[in-house]
Amino acid sequence: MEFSGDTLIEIRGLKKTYREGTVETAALRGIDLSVRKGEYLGVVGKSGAGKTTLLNMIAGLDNPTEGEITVGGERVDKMNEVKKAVWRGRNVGFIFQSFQLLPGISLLDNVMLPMDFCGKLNRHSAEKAAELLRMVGLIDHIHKVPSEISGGQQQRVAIARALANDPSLLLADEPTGRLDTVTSEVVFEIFEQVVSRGTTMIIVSHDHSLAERTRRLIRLTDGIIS
Amino acid sequence: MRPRWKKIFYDFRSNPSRSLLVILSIFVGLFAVGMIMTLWICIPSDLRLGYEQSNPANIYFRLSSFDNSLIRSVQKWENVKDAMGSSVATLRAYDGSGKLKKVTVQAVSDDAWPVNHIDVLQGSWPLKDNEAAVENYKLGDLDGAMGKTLTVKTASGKEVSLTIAASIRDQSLGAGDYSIVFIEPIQVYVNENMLRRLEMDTQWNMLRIVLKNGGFDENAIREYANDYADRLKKAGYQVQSIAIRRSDAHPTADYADAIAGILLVIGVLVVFLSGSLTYNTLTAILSNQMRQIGAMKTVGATYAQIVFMYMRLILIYSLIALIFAVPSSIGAAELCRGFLGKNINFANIRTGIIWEVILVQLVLGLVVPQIAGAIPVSKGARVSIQKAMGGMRNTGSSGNDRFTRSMSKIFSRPTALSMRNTFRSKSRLVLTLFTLSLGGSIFIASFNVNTAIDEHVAVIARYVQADLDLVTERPYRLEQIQTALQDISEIDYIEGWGFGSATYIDADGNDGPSISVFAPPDGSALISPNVKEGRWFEPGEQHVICLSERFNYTYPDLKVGDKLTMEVKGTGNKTEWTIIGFFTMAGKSGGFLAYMPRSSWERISGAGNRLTKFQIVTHTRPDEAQRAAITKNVEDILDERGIKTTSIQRNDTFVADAARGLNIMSIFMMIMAVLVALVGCIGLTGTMSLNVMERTAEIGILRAIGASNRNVMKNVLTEGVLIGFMSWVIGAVLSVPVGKVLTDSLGSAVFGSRLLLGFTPVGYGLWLVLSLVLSVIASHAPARTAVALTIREVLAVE
Repeated sequence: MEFSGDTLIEIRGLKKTYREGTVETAALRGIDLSVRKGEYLGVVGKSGAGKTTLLNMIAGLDNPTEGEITVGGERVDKMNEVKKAVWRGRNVGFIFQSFQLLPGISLLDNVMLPMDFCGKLNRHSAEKAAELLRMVGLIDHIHKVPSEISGGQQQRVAIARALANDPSLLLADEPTGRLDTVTSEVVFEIFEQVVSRGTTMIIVSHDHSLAERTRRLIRLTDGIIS
Repeated sequence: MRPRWKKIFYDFRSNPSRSLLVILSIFVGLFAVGMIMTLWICIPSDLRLGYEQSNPANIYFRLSSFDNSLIRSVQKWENVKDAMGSSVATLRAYDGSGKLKKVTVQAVSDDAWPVNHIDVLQGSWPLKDNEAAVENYKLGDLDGAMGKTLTVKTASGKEVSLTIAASIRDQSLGAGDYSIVFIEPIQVYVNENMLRRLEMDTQWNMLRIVLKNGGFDENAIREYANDYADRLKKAGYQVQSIAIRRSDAHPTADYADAIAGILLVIGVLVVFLSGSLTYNTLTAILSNQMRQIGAMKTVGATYAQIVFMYMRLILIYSLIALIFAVPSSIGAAELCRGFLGKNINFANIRTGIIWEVILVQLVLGLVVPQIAGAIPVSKGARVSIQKAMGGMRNTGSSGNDRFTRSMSKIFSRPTALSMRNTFRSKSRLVLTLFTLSLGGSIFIASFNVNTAIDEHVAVIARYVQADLDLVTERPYRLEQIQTALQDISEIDYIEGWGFGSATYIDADGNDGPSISVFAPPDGSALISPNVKEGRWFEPGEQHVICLSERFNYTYPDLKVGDKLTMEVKGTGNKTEWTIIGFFTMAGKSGGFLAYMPRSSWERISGAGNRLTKFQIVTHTRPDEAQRAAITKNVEDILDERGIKTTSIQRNDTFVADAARGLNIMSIFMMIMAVLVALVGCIGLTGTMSLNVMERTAEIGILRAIGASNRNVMKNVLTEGVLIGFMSWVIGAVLSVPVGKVLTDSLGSAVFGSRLLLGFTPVGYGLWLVLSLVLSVIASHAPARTAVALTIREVLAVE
């Protein structure tokens, strides 16, 4: 799918309220946000400010209570689950704080998995996955399984996996939250490399100093952009 | 291979115990279905086909002596396919330990046995002079073996030694006198030349006829039997008894029907058990895969793709279970068929693979796990990524907290925590309890059904409460027998009973089956009948009769208050009796039996107060050796006095023989109980393993805040024991209706009426112990694994 226009993400009046029993918690209380193509955006805020919720809404991992989210001209909030899965697989790369690699299969297979699910698996897939692993510095480990490499290395594999289907949008939720300073530096270098290729990227972090490495920074406080 | 399939194969390989659990869950269902269905198909068909193939007689005439010329004539009669004559006599033979046992000896007019073909299982056939064949069913009772000598005592007391040359199967045992194999004497076969030496009738006394048409229609057989009886009588032969039997009515078919009924009930329950077990296990596995499902959905996996992946994993489990279940169920069914064939006297006719069973196993094996897995897989694949990445872990609702708080007031905090864990996943708890309770209920019910069977055996024993049953060749006055045996100090008293055969005369005046008539004296303490309809006779009553359940089954129109006409053998007088009751004894295939007051018998028997049946009661309950010694003593004294006996039978042996068929049911129920217990064990083991597996992180937290390994183990074991105990309580309650279904099915097949529901604490106790021990074992292994992990490793799971 080709995104049209200069704006990639358009968010209007986004609200999200969680209910547990009779208790209601407002995670997002009215967000308006535009992100341009190729932009490198950082979202910072304290724990519970709504950063992860916002990222999940953009990726279609969760549904808003109110408001609109348009990504690449498509109303994510209006998509059904099947459509969202296909759309996400082809257009969005997502990086979790806790890597979320599948255990037991090799790093190469982990990277090829999105291609498999999105029908993009072909005879060049392994080559492409290896190339991505080379980009993140793990070409010598491609046949290892996640438990055989360090946390930092696992996050680099997660980045390679997120890039497997050449997404236009890369979302990272606290990508360095479990990494040491040196490894975090490596990860950010990779992100910069990705952004330099024209990929739009949004990073959520509670670490202000790391998020400041992005080109635009927004701060969330109690579910609103402050 | 595509990455997604590599993931599936990894899931399969990564946790062998979990995979084994799913495979076992599917396996037990398929194994049980395969075995049960094979038996369900084969036993009735083995009985029917095997019996049909033996060219069974439809009519048995007990006649005065006749020769081959009558057989040749009969063969030309209308609708006669085959006819065969045989000489049959009841004699006695020594078993391996020197005890005399009742034997039926017979020789036939044609060594090829054109009617009621026999199967030579071992040894040579036809028999030479001085050789004997013994029917396989009770060969063991003689302690006989090929080549051993069998000493037969003739009517005059002469001993004739024969060499056992063959062991044979005769499926017609009991057919000629409406009896069953269990209570038939040991069967010995000789050739025609041996009849004189054995002092038997050298001419034939039993005529067997196979009909060309109508052999499967009891009414048609009866009409032909009446017609042929008239012809025989006109030709000057004395017809002593007539028995008819359909060509497909194996004498023990009722027992096969009972087994088939039980198999059906248990088979259906086991399919449910296996299905719920599979569902439960797969639900737990899926809940442990939530994060991975979330990760896959994040990178673009659709609902259908995830469902298809896990369905394929289930397919792998199913295929492996099938690979093991098909051959093992065939093997187990063969063992059971062999056991049942030997014990209810039929040949295993159907050989080779039974494709319909394999087809059902394939369909069930491939479809049921997919159905069982469809709900958890679909639920798992549908769950939102947010929830999936949260691991779907129930963090404990306020309800649970309230539960823990209230339990804490009664129990210690750790125990209350265990109880909360038990109720945490309510749907799994319900399924686990369903599986275990159902398994437990069948297990307990099996013991209760066995008790019902035992109680019925005790009912049989109530008809023969004397220690010895003496039948003389000719009638004697009671005083003669009492005088003869007065020197045997162990004998307390002797009761004389009227006993003989009579022919039932039906409403049209035709001869019916032969009735065995028993006539105890008024107020006899040696019989305590089990009257199922009407009443027993009172002292002083005349012209009244009580009939066995076989009459109900064969002549359903006969009711209490109706008149019954019969002709006592050898008297030529037809007498009329009022039916005052029906009693239950050895089952509806147990022969036509009638009880009447002795005074009535004395009037019609033609022998006055001389009798042929004497019930001997000893002072104390003698042991095995004493019984044998008393029997021998009675025999010797009567021999000396020239009182010829037809049989001296120990009544405990009779009861044991009559109970054989029912005991087979007991053994069979136990096999089924073990099978069900196995399913239950797997269920419990699975649930506990999965419960602990799911709580790995919680265990880590407990340990991090100071819980010792012992505390953790205790916590897990308490949970297991609680589940085990709850399942026992529900299973104990459920065992009542399950036991009723099984008992009714057995009762209607064997007795044509309901059996009383049995009760024994054994099943309840055994299952309680089994479920508690298993709970501990099932919880112990995963708990040990959990405490063996370091706190860091455990918490990393989160």
